[in-house]
Amino acid sequence: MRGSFRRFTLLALGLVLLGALTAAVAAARGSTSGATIKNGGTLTIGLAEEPDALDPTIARTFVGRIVFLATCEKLYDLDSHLNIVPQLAAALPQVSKDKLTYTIKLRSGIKFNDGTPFNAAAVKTTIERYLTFKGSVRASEISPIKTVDAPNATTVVLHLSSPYSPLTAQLADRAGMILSPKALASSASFAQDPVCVGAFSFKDRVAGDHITLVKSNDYYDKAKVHLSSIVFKIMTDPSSRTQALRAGDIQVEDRIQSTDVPTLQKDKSVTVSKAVTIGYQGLTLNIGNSKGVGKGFSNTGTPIAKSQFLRTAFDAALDRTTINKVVFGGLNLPDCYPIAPVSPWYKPTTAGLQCNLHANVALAKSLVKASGIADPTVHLMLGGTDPVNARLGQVIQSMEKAVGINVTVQPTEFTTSLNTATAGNFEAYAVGWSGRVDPDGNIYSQVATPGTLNYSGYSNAKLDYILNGARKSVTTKSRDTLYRAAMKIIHNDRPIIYLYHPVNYYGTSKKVSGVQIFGDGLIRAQFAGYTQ
Amino acid sequence: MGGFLLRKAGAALIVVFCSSVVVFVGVRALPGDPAVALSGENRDPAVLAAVREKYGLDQPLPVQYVKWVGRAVRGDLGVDSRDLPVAHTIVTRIPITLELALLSVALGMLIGITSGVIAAVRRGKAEDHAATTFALVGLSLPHFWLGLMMIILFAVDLHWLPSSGYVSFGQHPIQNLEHMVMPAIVLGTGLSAVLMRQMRSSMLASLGADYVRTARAKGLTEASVIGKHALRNSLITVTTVVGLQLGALISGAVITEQIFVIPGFGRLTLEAINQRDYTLLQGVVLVAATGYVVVNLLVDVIYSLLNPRIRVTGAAP
Repeated sequence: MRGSFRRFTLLALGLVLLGALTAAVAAARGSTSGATIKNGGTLTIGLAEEPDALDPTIARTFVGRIVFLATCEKLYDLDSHLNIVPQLAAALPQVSKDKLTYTIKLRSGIKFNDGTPFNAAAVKTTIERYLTFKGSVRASEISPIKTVDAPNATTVVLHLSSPYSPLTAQLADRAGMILSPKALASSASFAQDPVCVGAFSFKDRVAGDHITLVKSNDYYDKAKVHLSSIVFKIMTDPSSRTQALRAGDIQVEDRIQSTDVPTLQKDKSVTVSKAVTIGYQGLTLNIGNSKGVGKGFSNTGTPIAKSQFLRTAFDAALDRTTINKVVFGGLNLPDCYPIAPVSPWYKPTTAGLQCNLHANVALAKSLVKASGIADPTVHLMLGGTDPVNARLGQVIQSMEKAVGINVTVQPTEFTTSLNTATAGNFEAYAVGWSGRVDPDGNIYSQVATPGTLNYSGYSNAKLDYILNGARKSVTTKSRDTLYRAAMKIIHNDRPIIYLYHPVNYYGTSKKVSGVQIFGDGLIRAQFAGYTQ
Repeated sequence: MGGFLLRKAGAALIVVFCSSVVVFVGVRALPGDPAVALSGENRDPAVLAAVREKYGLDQPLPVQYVKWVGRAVRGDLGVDSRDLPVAHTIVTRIPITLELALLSVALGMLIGITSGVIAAVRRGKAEDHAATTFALVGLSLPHFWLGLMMIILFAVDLHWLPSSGYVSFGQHPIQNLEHMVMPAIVLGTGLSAVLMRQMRSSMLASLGADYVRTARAKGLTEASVIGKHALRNSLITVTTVVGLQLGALISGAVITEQIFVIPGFGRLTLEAINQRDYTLLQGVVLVAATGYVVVNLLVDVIYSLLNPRIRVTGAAP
C-alpha cells in the first residue's frame, strides 16, 4: 500500500514537472515593421529539403531552383502572373515561319560573377553542354535543339529539328541558366563552385547544413541588391523550421507544415503568405499499363480500366471540398484540371468544362449500375506512408463506399510507389506533380502515349495528335484551342482524376521586406532586405 | 604481444570486410530504384540510364562491390547526389557528433553523479524523492518533445539561446557552446537519469560496506568518508555504464541533431536514407562500422596492456 502511494506520488510529481515546462511555453512576442529597406545584413532562409548538385546541368530538386534564383539568372524569367519575361535575353525570341529557328537577342554589358563577359558565345557553350553532358537532366527538356549559333556577341540562334513551342518556357527554367565558360573550363566540378550571372555569388556549402551566397560586385543591377549575403539553411524538420522562424534564427521559412500555419498566423513578428502552386495532386487510374511505361499499352482488364462508367462514377463519388477540409484543413485548392487557376492558361483551356467540387452520389450510383460490374473493387496505392496520405486514402475509401465501390488502400513508400507505377502493378495511384509553367509540362508526359510519366497507360491517338499539334503551334490562341480540346478528352476518359492544387505557405519575419513568392512556389529573395 | 596484436588486427579486418558486404547488400535491399529517387521527377529513360551509369548502378553487383571497395581502401568513397565527395562530408560531420556526445556525457555525469550521491546520502528524505522523480521523468521524456519544449521556451520566448544550427568551436567558442547547450541537455537528460539510479544504488551499497563503517570508526569526517571512500568505489560501476551508454548516445544523436538542425553524423545518415543516396549511405555505414571495430580493437589492446593474462588466455594452444 505504501509502495503504491509512493509510486503515485512520484508519478504525480513527474506530471506536475511536465505541466510546468509545457505551461512555461506560452508568451507574447513583439513585432517590428518598417517601410524602407536598408542595405546590409544576412538573410537566412530555412529550406524544407536539401538542394542537390548546384550545377543546372544535372540539378533535379525543387529547392535547388530557389538557390539558383539568387545566383544563376536565366534567359527568361516569370513575372508575378507567371507570364514569361526576358531576364538575360533582351526580348522574347523571334520564331521563324517554319517554327524551326529561334533568334534570341541578349542584353549587353552583363558580366558573370567571375568578371568575365556574358555573351552569345557563353550561351552557345552552356546550351551545348546541356545537350551533350553525360548525365545531363536538361538534355530531354531542350532535345529539339539541333544546333546553336552565335553570329555576334548579342545574338543567339537556336536551330530546331522539329517545332517545339514549350521551348521558351524551358528557357525560363534551369535550361535557360547560363554558366560561365571560364568556370566550366577551370573547375573539375561546376557544382562545387558554380558561377553564373546573379545578384549573389556562391561562397560556400557545408553539405547538409547550409549554402552561403554573398552579394556580387559584378551584377548588372547591384543597386537593387540590399543584402550582404543569403544563407540557405537546410532544415528538414518542419517544427524546427517554424520554431527557428519564431526565434528569429531564420527570417524566411520554406513551406510551413499545415499544422503550424495557425500558430504562425497568430505570431505578430511573422507574416504568413501563401502561394497556390502550378502543380496538382490526383489519382492516376491504370487503364493500359500492364507491361510497364514505354513498353506498349493494352487494357489491364481491371474493373476501373475496362469501364469508363466506373471511372466516371469513381470521380463523381469524390467530394473534393470535403477532402480538402478533412485531410488538409481547408488549406489547398480543390480543382479538376492539371493546370492551376494561377496560370494564365487556366481560363482559356478550361472554359466550357464543368468541375464538380462536391460529390454527386446519385449520379455515381447510377453509373456504377450502368457499368454492369457487380460490387466493384479498386486497389488504391498511396504515394507515401505518412499520416496525411493515410487520411486521404481513408476519406476516399469512405466516399467510394457510399456509392458501392470498394476501395482497398495500399500505403507505399514514395520511391517504391514510383517503381510500382512505372511497372504497371497498380489500379489507382494517388500521386502529384510539381507543375510546369507551360501546359505541355503538366499534360504531355502524363497522358500522351509516349509520355515518360504515363503511368495510366492511356493511349488516345486523337489526344496525341492534339498535344503534338500544341507543341508545334506558336500562337497563344491556337494553343488555347488545342489544350481546351485536350482537356475535354482527358476530362471524359479520366486517365487521371485531378483532386486539388497544393497551396504552399511561407513565413517571413516582419523585419524583412521584398521577399516574393509566385505561383511556381519559389522564394525570390535576391532583392529583399531588412527594413529600417 | 606482436602475435596477439596481429591476431586481433586480422580478426578486425575480417569483421570490416563482412561489414562492408552487409552494408553493400543491405543498402541495395532497400525498396525502390535509386535511379528513380536520384532523378527527381524526370523519368526520361536517357536520364535514368545516365544516373545508373554515373553511380555504376548499371553494372553487376559483384563489379559494383569490387569497384567500391577498391576506391574505399584508397580513401575515396565517391561523390554523392550533390556532386560532393562523400569522404570529405563524413570527415567534417564526425567531430560535430563527437562534440555533442562528449558534452552530453559531461553534463549527464555532472547531474547524474551529483544527484545520485545526494539521493544515497539523504536516503528516504525529500532530496532522495526529488532525485528519484527526476530520474523517472528523465527516463520517460522523449528527446523530440523535450527538444521542442526547450526551443520554444529558451529560444522562441526568452531569446536566450539560438533555436538551431551549429557554429564550430574554432570559429566562435561562445557561439559554439550556445548552440550546443540545449542539444547536450536533451541528449544528456536520459544519461543523467540512468547514472543517477546507478550511482544511488552503488553508493547505498558502499555506504553500508564494512570499510566505510571502519572509516567512520576511525573518526574521519563524513565528507571524507563519502568523497574519498564510498564515492571512489561507486564510480567504478558508473564508469562502465558511461562507456556502455556512449554508443546509445551516438544513436540518440540522430533525433537530437534533426531537431536542432546540427550537421552531425546522425543527421547525415538520415539524409542519406531519405534521399536514397547509395554512395553516401554506404560510406556512412562503412565508416560507422569501421569505427566500432577500431574502438573494440583499441579496447582489446588496452586491456591486454593492463592485464597481460588476457594475452596469454587469448593465445592459440
